[in-house]
Formats: sequence, structure tokens, C-alpha cells
Amino acid sequence: MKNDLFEKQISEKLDQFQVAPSRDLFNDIMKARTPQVKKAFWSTWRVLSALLITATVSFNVYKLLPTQNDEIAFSEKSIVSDKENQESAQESKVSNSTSEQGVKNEMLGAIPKKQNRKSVNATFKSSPNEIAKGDIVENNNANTLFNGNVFESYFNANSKNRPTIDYEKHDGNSHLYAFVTESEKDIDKVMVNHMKNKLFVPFVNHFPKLSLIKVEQQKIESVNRMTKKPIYIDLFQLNSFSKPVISNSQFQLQNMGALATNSASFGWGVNVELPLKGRWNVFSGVHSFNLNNQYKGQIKYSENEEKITKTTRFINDPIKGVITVESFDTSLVSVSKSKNIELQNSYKLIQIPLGMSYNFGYKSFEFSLNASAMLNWSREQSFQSINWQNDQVNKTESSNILFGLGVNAGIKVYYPLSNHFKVFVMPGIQSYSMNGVKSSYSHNESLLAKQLQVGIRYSVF
Amino acid sequence: MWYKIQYKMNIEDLIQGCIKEDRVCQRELYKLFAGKMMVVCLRYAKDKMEAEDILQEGFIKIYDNISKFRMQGSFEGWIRRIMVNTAINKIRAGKRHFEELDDRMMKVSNSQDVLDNFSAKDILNLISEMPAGYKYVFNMFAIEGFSHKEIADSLGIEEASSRSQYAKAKKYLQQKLIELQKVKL
Repeated sequence: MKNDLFEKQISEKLDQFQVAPSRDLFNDIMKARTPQVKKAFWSTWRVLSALLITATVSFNVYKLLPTQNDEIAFSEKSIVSDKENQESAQESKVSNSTSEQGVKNEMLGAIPKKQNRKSVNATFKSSPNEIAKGDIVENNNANTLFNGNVFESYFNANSKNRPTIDYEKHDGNSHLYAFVTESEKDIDKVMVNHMKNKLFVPFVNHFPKLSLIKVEQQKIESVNRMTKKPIYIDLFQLNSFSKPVISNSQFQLQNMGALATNSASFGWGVNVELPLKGRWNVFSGVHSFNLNNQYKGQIKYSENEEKITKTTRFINDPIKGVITVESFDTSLVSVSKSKNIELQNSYKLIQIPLGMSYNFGYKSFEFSLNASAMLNWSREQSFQSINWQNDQVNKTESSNILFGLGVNAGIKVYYPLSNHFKVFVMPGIQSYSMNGVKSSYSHNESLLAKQLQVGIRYSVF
Repeated sequence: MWYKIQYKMNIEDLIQGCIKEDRVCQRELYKLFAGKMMVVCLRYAKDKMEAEDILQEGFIKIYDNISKFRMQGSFEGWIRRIMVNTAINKIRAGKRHFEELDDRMMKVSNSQDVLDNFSAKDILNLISEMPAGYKYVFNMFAIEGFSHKEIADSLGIEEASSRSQYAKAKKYLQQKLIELQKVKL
């Protein structure tokens, strides 16, 4: 029995007895507990990290994946089989212009209802910010359309492969072009191309997923089935700062020390540019400006002048006293003279360039390296020359047609403005000659002109 | 003159401090109970090293679960219970053989008077040197106050075995005490 005296005595003795454990035992206990604290600590961080990762992934998925109000969809009622959608399909037979207008309206910011998506040819649902940030090319078939450089795809204007543009969206520096294809087979060619000009950014990782739904054949036929290439029309003001070089060494002005000076010419130009292959475009156009070549200098010449020499003599007369006698001699002497001259030769010049450009982008800007051959055609010109008989400047006008060849090179910098418009500047140089000898002029002129084009580009598809 | 200022916390303060993982309170709690609990552990362990292992493990459980103490009943009893359970778990984990010993050899005379001649340390040493089969049952029944049913459940033996083992353990201890007294004399 526990209540026995024996057990009681033992229990009492042991109850009051203590044995000190090792000195470091408490520290060992604390150390042993530390992993649990750390575990809790790391568990907390794991949870936080997981939450952070989840939030990040969710955010990116939200940003990348199309949602109800944030997606670009080619949707056709006619491809949906239920009754409601068949009714919508009837609605979808509205004219292209109406549909496109609707699309454009939506692109301008109207957020369509989900039902409306089905009734339009191609519904655009994307917040401007989304598009501005997105750089995507992708389709719902999970085909990787742009394994390579998306710019290559964009600029590859092969007429057979380039799909029809269904609509486009431009938002700030973002440009979204949506294309449709004619058949399911061509779905790989369906291209929703976003150009943000991030040449060095791997695009595939940035593009939001877009829903591309097969469009029925009939509908596609109602869309302009022409395979379209983008056409760029550049309208610009042309400033040329040229310094002519006289090609005729016998030219009197050179002999007389007159120097050609920089002279400014102003005009305008129109270029039409077409994608050729890859990033290469070909362009041609018409430039018209008045070319003014100015020469300034000081002409030195000699002239005979009559010189009168006065001689005074004194005669000592005993009666009259001193008599003064003056005599005058007239003679011709040669005198050196100088004269400032300012001559100007003018051409009403028309230039026809034929060249190529290499296009690339960086950040918000687009660039193109331009090089072209120039056919110069002048239909009116005027020349100023010195009549050495009377040292007068004579002006000669001619309507002879002059031709000349030249080259032009420059780098064009574009900045997108809006839907179809971009502004650009192109500093460049031109070298060409004008064969004035074939006109009523006595010499040919060659020019090395610095040129600055400032203009606007309109993109036509 | 320098004064040593000592603030004595009561048990509740210590418990609250330990709940808040206050290292000072944890150390004070350890100081307060480690000596007594070491005795408990020594009674079950085969040696001091094992006793310290049990003590360490027991205190870890105490610190981890101190928030579960409801402030009702004896806190020392709660701690002691944890230590005993830890020791028993250690026994189970070690699958230590619980041997039932034969008491035919034991001729026990009146040992109650003998106890007065022994210190607690001597008694503790005797208990520690008891065969495991006796030691656990004796400790649990005679000192911790477990019932035989509880002992049977804890050790995984029959209740009758617990009773018989306790009787044998008691006789064994008494015999040892007598033998030890003879040596002393």
C-alpha cells in the first residue's frame, strides 16, 4: 500500500532532495529549442514567400491572361452553335464598315459587354494600360507564332504569308495589329502583332495571351481579303544646306577668289514606302525645292585712271618780285580695285529618290537607315554671272531641263503620335551635281548638302 | 555598500514569462525545478546521462506546452508528471526489457527503522540500481502515486503484474537497505 510508512518515508526523503544537473544543460535545452524557433521563423518566411510568389504570379497571370474586360478576341457568333449565338450570327452579318467602326469605337476606350463581344466581327477588349504594357504575340492554339523575333514577323511583308488586317489599335507607343486568316489551316499565320519597338526585349515573355477564334469563311470573305501590306506615306518639309563646288576649273569666280558659301534651300517632299522583306523597306517619292547656290567673294581688278600732276614754280622778278607759276600735267595710271560680289544660282529642283531603308526600334522610337539614289531634274534655273566688261552682275534664266544623279543617306527617327501617324526627322546628306553647262550657264556645279527632313508619316493598310 | 537586488518572481510570473519566451523566466523556472526533476529522472534512468536526457527533453516539453497549464493545481505536479511521462516514453522508445523478477531469494525483515539511517542520496542510489522491472513500478506507485492501472497502462503490462512487481520491488529495496546497513555497521 502506498500509505505504508515505508513508501511515505522514501517519498518524503526524495521530495526534499535535489541533484544539480550539468551546468550547460539549460543552454542545451535552449539550443534544442532553437530549431523549433527557427522552424517557426522559416515557416513564417515560407508562408510569406509563398504568398508573395502567389501574388506575383497571380498578378502576372491577371496581367497576361485575357479576362472578361481585358482581352482581345476575335469572336464570331456564327461559330457558336447554340440558338442565342445563331441569333448573334445574324447580327454579325452587318457590314464590315459597321463592325469595324464598332471595333474602333471599342478600341477608343469603350468597354463592351460580354454579350456584345459575340455580335461584332472582332471585339477588342483591352485596357489601354494593358496594351501599353503588353508586347505579346500569341494565339489560343498555343502555337508559338513568334518563336523568332516578332519584328521579323511584323516586317516580313511577304504577300503570301501576311494575313489580312482585321483591326488595329494604337495606344501611345503601342501598336497592335490584328490579322485574320482565311482558313483554319492558316491559323498559324494569324498574327496579332504588337510593336512596341523594344528591339532587344524578348517579346514572347511579355505578350498577353490573346484569344483568337476561328472566323468563319463567309465572314472572312466579307472582310477585305486582299493581302495587305502596310504602306507608309511620308510628307515632309525639306531643308537643305548646301555648299556648291564648282566643277569647272576655269570658272572666273574661282580665279577671282569668290567663294561658295552655305546656302539654305527649302522645299517639301512626299515619299511612299513599302515593306520589302524582313526589316527592309523600299521607298520612292518626289522632292521639290528651290536649290540656291550662293557665292560670295571680293573681286580684285585694275582700272586706268587719269592722274593730274600739279607743278608749282617761282620766278624772282626784280620789278614784280616773286611770281608763282603753276603747271598741270595729265597722265593715265592703272589702279587696283576690289568689289564684293554675291552671286546666286537657283534651280527649281525635283528629286526622285529610289532607295531602301532598314528599320528597327528602340524604346518608344522607331528608326530607319535610309539610302537612296537620286534622280535630279531641274526645269527652271537662273544663273548670275559677272559681265567683266562692265563689272556688272548679269542674271540669266533658262528653262532647259537638266538631269543629274546623286545619292542620299540619312537616319530617320520616328515617334508615334496616334493611330496612323508618326512624326519624324531625318538628318542626312546628299551629294549630287547639276550640269549647268547644258543650260545657259558656263559651268557645272556639284553639291554636298546637309539635309534635314521634318515630317509626318501616315500608315496605310 | 553594494546591495544585491533580487526580484523574486512567483510561479505565475514565471509561467507568463515562459509563455512569452522570456529567457530570464525560462532560466528561473529551470533553476527552480531542475534539481528536483533531476531526482525524478534519476529514479527512472539507468544513469546520470540518461537522466539528463530525460530532463532536457522534459523541460523542452514544459517550455513548449507551458501555455497549456491552466493555473489550476500544482505546477510542480504538472512538471513532475511531464518528467515522468517523458521518462516512461524513453523507456518505451528504448524498448527496455521489463523483467519480472522472482522474489524467492528475498528475506525482508522490518526495514522501516532502517530508513532513518539512510540519506536521500543513498535511497536514490538504491532505487536507481534497482532492476528496471522493479524500479519503474516502485517509482510510479510509491513516489508518484500512480495507480496500478495507470502503471499497467503506461508500461503496457497487466495490472496484476504491476501489483506483484511493486511488492517484489518493495521487498527488494528493503533487503538492499538492510544489507547496506550491515555494511555500514
